Amino acid sequence: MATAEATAPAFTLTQATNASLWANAWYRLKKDRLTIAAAVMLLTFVVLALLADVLAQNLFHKSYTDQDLLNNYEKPTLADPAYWFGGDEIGRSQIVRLLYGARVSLAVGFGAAFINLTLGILVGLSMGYFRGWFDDLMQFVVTTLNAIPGLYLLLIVAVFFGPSPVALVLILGSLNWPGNALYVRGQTLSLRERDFVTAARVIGVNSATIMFRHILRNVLPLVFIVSAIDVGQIILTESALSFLGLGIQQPLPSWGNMLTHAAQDLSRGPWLVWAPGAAIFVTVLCLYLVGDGLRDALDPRLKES
Amino acid sequence: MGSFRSYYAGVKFLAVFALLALVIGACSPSAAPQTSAGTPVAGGRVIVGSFADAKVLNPILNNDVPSQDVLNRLYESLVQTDTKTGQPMPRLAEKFDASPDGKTFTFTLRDGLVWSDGTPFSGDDFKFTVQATMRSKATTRKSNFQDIVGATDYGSGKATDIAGIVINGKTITVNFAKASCPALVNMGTFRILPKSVFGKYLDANDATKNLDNAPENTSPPPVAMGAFVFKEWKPNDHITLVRNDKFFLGKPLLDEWVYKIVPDGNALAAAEKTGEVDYVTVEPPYLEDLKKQSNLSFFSYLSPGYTFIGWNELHSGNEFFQDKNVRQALTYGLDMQQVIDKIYLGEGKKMVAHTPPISWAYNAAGLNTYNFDAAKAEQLIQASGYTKGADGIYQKGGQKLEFDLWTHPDNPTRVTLQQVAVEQYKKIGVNAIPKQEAFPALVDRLTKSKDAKYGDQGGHDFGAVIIGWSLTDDPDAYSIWHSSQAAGGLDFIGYKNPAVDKALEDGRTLCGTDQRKAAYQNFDKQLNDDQPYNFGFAGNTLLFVNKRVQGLAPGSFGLRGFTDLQKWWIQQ
Amino acid sequence: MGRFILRRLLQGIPTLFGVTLISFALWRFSPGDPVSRLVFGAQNVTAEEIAALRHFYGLDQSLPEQYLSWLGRIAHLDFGQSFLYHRPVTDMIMSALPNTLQLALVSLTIALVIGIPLGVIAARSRGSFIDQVVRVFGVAGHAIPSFWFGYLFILVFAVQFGLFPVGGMLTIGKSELDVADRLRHLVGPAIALSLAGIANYSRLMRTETLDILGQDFIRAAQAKGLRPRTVLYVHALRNALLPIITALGGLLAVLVSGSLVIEQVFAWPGMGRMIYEAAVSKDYPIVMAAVFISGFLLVISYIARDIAYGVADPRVRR
Repeated sequence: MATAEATAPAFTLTQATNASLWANAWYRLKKDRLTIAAAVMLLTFVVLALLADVLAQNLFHKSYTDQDLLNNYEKPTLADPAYWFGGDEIGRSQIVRLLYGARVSLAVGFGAAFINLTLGILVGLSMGYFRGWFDDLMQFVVTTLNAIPGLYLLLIVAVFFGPSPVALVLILGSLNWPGNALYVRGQTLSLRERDFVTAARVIGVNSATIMFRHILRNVLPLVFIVSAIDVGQIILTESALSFLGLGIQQPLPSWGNMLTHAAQDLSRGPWLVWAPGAAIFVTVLCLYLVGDGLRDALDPRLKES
Repeated sequence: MGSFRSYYAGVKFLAVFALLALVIGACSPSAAPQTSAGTPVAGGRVIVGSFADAKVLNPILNNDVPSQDVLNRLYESLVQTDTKTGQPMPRLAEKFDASPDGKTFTFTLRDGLVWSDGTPFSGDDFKFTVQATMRSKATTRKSNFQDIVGATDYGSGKATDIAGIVINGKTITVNFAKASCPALVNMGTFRILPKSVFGKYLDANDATKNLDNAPENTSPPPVAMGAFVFKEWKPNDHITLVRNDKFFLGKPLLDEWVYKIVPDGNALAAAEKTGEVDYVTVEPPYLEDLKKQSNLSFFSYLSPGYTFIGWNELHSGNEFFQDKNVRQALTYGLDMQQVIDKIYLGEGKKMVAHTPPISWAYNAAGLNTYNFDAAKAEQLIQASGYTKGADGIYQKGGQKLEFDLWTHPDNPTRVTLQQVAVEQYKKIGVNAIPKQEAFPALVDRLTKSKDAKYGDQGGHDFGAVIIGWSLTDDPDAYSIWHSSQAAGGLDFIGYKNPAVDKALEDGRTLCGTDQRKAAYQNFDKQLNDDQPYNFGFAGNTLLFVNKRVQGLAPGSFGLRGFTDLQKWWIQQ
Repeated sequence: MGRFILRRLLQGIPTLFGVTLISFALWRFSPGDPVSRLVFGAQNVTAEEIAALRHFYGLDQSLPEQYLSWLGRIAHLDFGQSFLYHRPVTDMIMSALPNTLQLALVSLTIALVIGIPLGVIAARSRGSFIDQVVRVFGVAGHAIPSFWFGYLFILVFAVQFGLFPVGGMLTIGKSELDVADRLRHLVGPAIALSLAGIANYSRLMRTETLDILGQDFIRAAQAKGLRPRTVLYVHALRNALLPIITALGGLLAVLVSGSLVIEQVFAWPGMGRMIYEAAVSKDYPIVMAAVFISGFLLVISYIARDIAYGVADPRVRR
């Protein structure tokens, strides 16, 4: 959880024009087959998550709450699509829950990362651009929040707000932004002294325009990369919270709570752990690979070997 | 130990541990017969695995099961309940007696009782323990003693002694100000502290002095009355006790008794398999796997306590819970036996009233068994004038049979029951909406929150709740069911019934066994008919012990899994 | 330099103050109350008993009073007494902290020893099969939820093969000084805890090394006849030093709070479990003390990091 800082890219973008930046990046990315494969995998999961309703109704004919207590712990079978991955302790279809779990886990991951990203950019940009007392005040707020270990904050706030998915997104989304903000602030501080910003100021472009059009554009790609990894971290954190009984709650499935329940039922339904475990593993791994691949592709200093 | 202890569930795993109790193999043909292999030999160590660490090793301050597991090995009590029935039996007292009016209790101590350091045990130790409890500012145990003549005055400093306790040689006479039949068990099983050690913390003339902060609370003295003496405590890791050679029932065969903490359920089951711990009680998911292990003996016994669904009769919008037909329908409409069979693997018993089926006070005769019957459930709902709406949910005068069903997420079994209940109630046209909240917050909701409409009458802000009781050995249930407990007490569902009140009062004042038994039968019949709870089920304690440990005699009441600890021995 | 350090230290004070105030407020306003919980679990607790308990725990004071008296005690380094354990919080922390530190230092070493070479190796063969293997395996361990990794480790290595114990720090009955036994107990939790570090350091080193590889002085050094590998490691490490110091700062927080999930699975008696239990039981003297101490160490680590930056780059010291 305390890794956001370590993942901040250790290089600075120059004011290369965006068009050529992205064109070069895309050219390099195409050659990085591992990253492409990871991205395709992620995309597949996203599509499956979006199709959860359609698949559940038309292929599996089960909702994620439909139970069959009498025949619980069904073993995986090809005979009935709903039990391709078996059934759980109260006879719910594992594969249907996995699809909806994808929806929940990915939504929590991307949602919380989006909040981290937005807060981080807004605060960081303002700090770096305005400096002065605002910067000092926010510095204080950010260091203070940074100095409360995430674990406590998470425990306290989770107990405070109860385990609803929306609350969880808000909680996880408000944890990592101070790191993002400090990073964006640093970038802004150095960018605002550059010629192109000074030029814009001289010709009378207002602050908001400068911040969002000129500076943000340069900061954004890197923050996106950090966020890709953030999404993976959040999915892992949700699973850890589920393990502690503070994550997404039944009947709503998330990969984290499915894995936790399956792990507790290991001796009765050993087949139940593999799908959610693999889903988390593959997703987080792919997010890392995509994040790192994008960074490689975007960094103009990296020469081809 | 007089306490109705809720499942202590913030630490989820404790929930199961709270159920250490009774009737060996009452429901289990699978209980492995204890093959007594060879002659008992002295020596060796038993490692007991636990989900949570003890907190404080002082009976006055104790509030949790792990602490009780350990401190009950160190300190002893005047009487001990029978492992099978819960009736009081001799312990330090070889004889005891209650007067017919339930006000006077007499205990006669055994001959030659000594503490492990050689100090003689006397009635003064008992009296001191009562005094220390009354002077404590951090105890929740005063209810055991506060009705003793003069006890409250001693506690507040108005008196320098407790007039109601008279010591005459080996005889202890305790006079109560009012009839109190449960006192024999509640007071008699209270663990007694050594006055020679703790005496210095009390001053008869200064009521501000107490033992609340005594270092001996967490580092007990080498002065014990139980089978073992404290040796060391590595917090959150293990507690080691060593043999007490002067134990009054004979020198224990074991050298050491170790309490080892393994907080994770999977890890604890694994540790039992590998032999890292010898003795463990587990949750149902681990049952099948551990039963296959050839190195383990299995014991299964019912415990005094149960998991239930409580219907809040004082919640605005859920007034239908005041309708007996609806409550009965909610019992008929949920197949509890199937839950027990499928989730608990049959290791449990369906409950239809409060008193544990294993207690001497229980009588099944005349109790409706409420076998699952969805059609009957719907008939009862219809009989109360409800009709099914377009959404398939029954409603009457615009009020739908719809409510929030709360539980806490750190107890997987309760969450599973919640999921099943929601699904099955939907089939009888009742919409239960699952809600979950962390245990501390849920406790606040049950006991402190105020309902918008009925708050002044003691109504709390929840519709229905799945939670559990872990019960005392005595059948007294006043604090849960008496109508005086509806405002601020543990009757948080606002249930009031004069006939139940009368039965509970009789149970406290008519001390003859037959009279008490009749009172509790009456009480159970009322509850059975009213169904203020869906009484859910009582899950068995599932105990696995490594076969190298011999001489066990676990039971539902009294010392439970640790009965006859002095006879345990290790097969070489 | 001295003035710079002093200024940063002084700046840390309001931060610590803010940390404690936020923790306290969150804590006391969240639902659940230690006394109502005790009452829920016991029979016939009287109103006087409840009042006495609230007074005993200091909960009968107003919230500002509670906070101020807590601050007052902190000034004397008195963290108070745990509600749950009836013993001084300082004692409890002193028993858990060494265990957590022991585990954290070992896993940190594993992470550095494995993570750094992995990153350099990947960078040197960028785009090759080796690079891709390292990229996948560097983060693979970290992509598994840690409780699941712990369970797999226990099932395979403890139950199936009996190579390592299931949990705990020492075999019951063995001497405290039995190093071999201690190490056997350390293997599982230390590996589990090091996975995140391996992922981070290997990725960090890969980036830094790639950066160096593109620079002219490497070619110059090679021209001078220096061994390429030596040049690489020296320069890459130097470049990566600041980010690693930064990461270590964050790691200190983990050091102090322990890794709750891993401690839970491997029955390791560290800070994480203590704090978790205190958090769910509303035992706020422990939670406040833990937040304060880890906040304090974090502030110190940030200062240390800034000083390191200041030494490396004098422009920071404005």
